[in-house]
Amino acid sequence: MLAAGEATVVRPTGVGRHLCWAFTDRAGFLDRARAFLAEGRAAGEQRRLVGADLTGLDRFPALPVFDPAAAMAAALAAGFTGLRVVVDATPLVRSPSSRADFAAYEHLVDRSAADHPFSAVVVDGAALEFIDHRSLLRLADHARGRGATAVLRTALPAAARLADLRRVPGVRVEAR
Amino acid sequence: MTRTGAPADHVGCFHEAVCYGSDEELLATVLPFLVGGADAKEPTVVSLGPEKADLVRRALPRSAAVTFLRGDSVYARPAAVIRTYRELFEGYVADGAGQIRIVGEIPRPSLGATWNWWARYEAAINRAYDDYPLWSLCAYDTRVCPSWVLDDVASTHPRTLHADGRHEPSATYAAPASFLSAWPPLADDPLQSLSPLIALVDPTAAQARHTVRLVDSGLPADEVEDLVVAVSEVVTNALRHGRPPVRVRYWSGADRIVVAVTDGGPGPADPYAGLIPSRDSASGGLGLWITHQSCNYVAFSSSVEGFTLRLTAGNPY
Repeated sequence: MLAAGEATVVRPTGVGRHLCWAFTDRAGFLDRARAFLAEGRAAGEQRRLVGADLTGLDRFPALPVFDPAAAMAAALAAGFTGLRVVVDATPLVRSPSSRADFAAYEHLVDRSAADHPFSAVVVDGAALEFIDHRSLLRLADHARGRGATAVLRTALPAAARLADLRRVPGVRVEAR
Repeated sequence: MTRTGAPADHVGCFHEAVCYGSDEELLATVLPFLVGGADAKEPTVVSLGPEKADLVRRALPRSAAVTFLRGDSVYARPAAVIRTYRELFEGYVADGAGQIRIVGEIPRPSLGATWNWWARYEAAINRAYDDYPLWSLCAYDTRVCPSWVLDDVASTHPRTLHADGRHEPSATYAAPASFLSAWPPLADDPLQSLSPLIALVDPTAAQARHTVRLVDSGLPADEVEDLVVAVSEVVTNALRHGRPPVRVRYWSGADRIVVAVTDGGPGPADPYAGLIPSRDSASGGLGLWITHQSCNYVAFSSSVEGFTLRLTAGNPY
């Protein structure tokens, strides 16, 4: 974790991200968090809030506690492309004793993000003449079973429109 | 969260028709509605064609916070409108809206040959938008609406709003599920007065798809490919959920391709099929929803020979 301003922890794989926002203006923090969650929603990721003061930030209630590894596994199993969590860690840094818990917790989150790199199964669709929504879903399931996103490369314009229409989580269609 | 105006004690979608005979009558009805929404800081939206939107924009106080959407773009295909609006409403509610106000008008070209699927849209939104605290006014210009359109408007809107502020229940309002399951006889596309170019009986989905490309006389490639997807979905549904024989007939004209798929079954059990996406992919409802997103017109009809879905790519008649 980096502890000042806003920073991205760089992973060897370039995938797991763990950001820290140090703030004095709560409204500004909430605006940043909303934008962060909106980005996750657009990417098909599951969103979670942790910390009592975050209730109302999104449509779902904030959780009191959070197990990063279990939450990540649950998000993938439910068909999301990933997990995006906003945690209000302020109560954890108010006293020296709780700061030790906070450091342990942050380390856990770092390790969880690093242990769940997202990879892609790339499917060459050069010879593809037709694909329907059932096949797209099967492709997404196949990739998800391997903890990956399916990337279908095809010249079929209908494939991209179908993926967009169905917003199939875990699959991306690229024109070739 | 509280709601203002007539739906103050209403839960869900408060759906009203505004049947107006002059621009003055339209303004007298919708301006208090829009200004009231803006004053109450409710998300307030206008989805009208360019001329009517200008009329309303000029008459509104400059300070009124009203969002204008392009009605001719929004109302392209019924299933797409439902998805667009649901996402819009979802966002407003997530931002804390206690009520959302919207004035919309289905563009004039849709009051003709493709009216039937817009009538189905008006019936379906009583359920599709009922998840939201929505107050929706649907404007219809009685100077240009055929009488059968106005009859359907009365059957699909629980109430009407008038220029003097009256909210009147519709005496002929029909429960959406019963309206949607009625499948009244529809006029054929003129191409159907000729013998089909090709007729298949119990084809595979692949054969039915291939034949679309055979009858294409030069429509834009994207429209043909969208029709291929739609035909595939409908034939797959007919083979899986309908009753044999499954007959697929193809017509082609200079500006369109028409495909009619008939099976011996009773048609979809879900009255909202095609307009609201089914989460159950096994029921065939998802395929019908994709079909409604892929074609310029989808018509349902029922007869002694079974259930027919007619799909049009290009210009519907």
